[in-house]
Amino acid sequence: MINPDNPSSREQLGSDSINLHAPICLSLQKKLIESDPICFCLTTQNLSIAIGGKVICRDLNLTIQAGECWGVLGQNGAGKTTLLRTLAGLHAPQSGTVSWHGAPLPTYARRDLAKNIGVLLQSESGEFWGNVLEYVLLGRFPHRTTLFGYSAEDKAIAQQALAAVELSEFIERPLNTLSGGERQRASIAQTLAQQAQCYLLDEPLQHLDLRHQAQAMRVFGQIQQQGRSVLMVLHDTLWVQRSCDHLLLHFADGQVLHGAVSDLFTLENLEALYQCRLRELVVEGERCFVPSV
Amino acid sequence: MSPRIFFSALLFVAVLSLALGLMSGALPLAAGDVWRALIGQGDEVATEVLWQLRMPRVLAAFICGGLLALSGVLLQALLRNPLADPYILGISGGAAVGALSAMLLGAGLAWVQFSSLTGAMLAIVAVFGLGFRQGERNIYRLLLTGVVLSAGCGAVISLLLTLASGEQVKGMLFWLMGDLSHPQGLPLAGLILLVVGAGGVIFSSGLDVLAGGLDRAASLGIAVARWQIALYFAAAVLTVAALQLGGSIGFVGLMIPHAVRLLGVSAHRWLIPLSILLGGSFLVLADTLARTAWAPLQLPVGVFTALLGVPVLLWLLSKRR
Repeated sequence: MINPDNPSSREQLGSDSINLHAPICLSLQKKLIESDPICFCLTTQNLSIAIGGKVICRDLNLTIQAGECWGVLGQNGAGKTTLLRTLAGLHAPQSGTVSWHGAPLPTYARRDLAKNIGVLLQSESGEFWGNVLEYVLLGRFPHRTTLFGYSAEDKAIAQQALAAVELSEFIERPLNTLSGGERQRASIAQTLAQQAQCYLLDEPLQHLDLRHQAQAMRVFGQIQQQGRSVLMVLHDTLWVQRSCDHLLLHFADGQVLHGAVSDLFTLENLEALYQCRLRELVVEGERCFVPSV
Repeated sequence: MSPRIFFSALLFVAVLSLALGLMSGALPLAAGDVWRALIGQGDEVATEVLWQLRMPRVLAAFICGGLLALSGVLLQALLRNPLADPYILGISGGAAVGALSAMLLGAGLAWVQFSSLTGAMLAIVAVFGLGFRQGERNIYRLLLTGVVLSAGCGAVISLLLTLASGEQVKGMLFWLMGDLSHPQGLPLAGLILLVVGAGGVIFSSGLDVLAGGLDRAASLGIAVARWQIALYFAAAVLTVAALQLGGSIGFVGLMIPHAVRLLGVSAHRWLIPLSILLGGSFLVLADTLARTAWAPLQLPVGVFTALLGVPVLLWLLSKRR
């Protein structure tokens, strides 16, 4: 019953991770775990993705297990966002499939998928006229049980999410009066309020100052510890070293390397990835890479 | 302002504006006369004037204002653009070309109405067919197709006005600027307003989600394309019903939703009923002024929607942080 390769994540799943936030899908997950323990994760099978006639990824076979934290690195325009949108079911693959719990994404009702997969997209909140709390409450949409508005529980969850990104004092402010960084934190809070099992985050640290970068990464770390999985597009290699256990390198020619951070996080790989000379810095055992002058 | 207080205040305003509309006219009626005529105890003249002349017109103004405001709310949600109004997608342009062509040919009122309806339907189908693409991450193609078609209709309208005789031009101008004296299909329009308004409130959470971004809405479980199609045709039906009641009356559909938002309400659950009430009351007042200010001369109601609305909106905008 239990996958011998990955006993820790399986056990975690069985115990505390699921009942934390998603009672509705509990039975489904239990059933699936019992029937096939290997499938509780986001996987791709021979996934090829094209956008605007350009192939950005070929024959990708990826398995994101519960409790894993993935970093995605790549040059601008390599197709990281499109890859993430494809994993979220927002972009149709050229061939191959993306599966959640072993079943292809299109077989799920959108709302069921939304209860399980949370997506943070790059700033998109353009024409939202409401205040910050109303914006964050949108994250509760898939879990909504009332026809009108949101329940007190939904509001409490939204306020918790706002507290997690230190926006509690901004609840009443119209969203469009916020600064770029504050708005990004509101978007993160909205995604957190979704209480998904798997988070796909596109540049979650964009516009954030150092303090709030650290704050956000702490929150994502907690999500991972609860046995949920996180995949995030990053540009700062420091956070890969600190927070991720797996790495996906997305090359400009559509080639993708993925595996454990310990295997892939090397000077040669990153120089090839960014096509520039880099220097490796090691401070108190932490490694990161900066461009050499 | 709390939405509930806002709603109660607007209900009061709506009743007040309807009463004012019923009292004003060539034969002024006191509030008591109106009341007695309403409950069937008024004198013959007052009853006749109230039920035959004023009631249909005042109701047409209220329903038309509500239709336009609701259509504006839905289109601003669909197009994610604050400049969207019921006429931006070329529906009124198509209707105007239809109506004016019929007028130029000397057709009677029924044919003018029929022709404008046909023009509107053609515009709706053409803009949707040319401009809508499923799964696009923005909706600019639809918006631009509508704007381009509107511009084309504008050119044809200018041509028709040039070709028309002096007497015809006056009728045409009234149609273009809005005229509530020949409302068509009032009960049906009222039903449409009720049904679409109720539907909008029922699906209001989804409208809020759509306003937060299309990809995000999809990732939150919204079937975006289906919503866009539903919104487009709902707004189109509302606009056509409003056009049949009063021609193309400007300003209401664009500005009423913004006025409600500037007063602090943006969640669609409240935005929809508040916009309907405010739009309806506003158009009743504007129409009452249009038919009494220079009596016996009747002025186009579109003049007053702008004259009344522009200063209020400018004031609200300047007050905003």
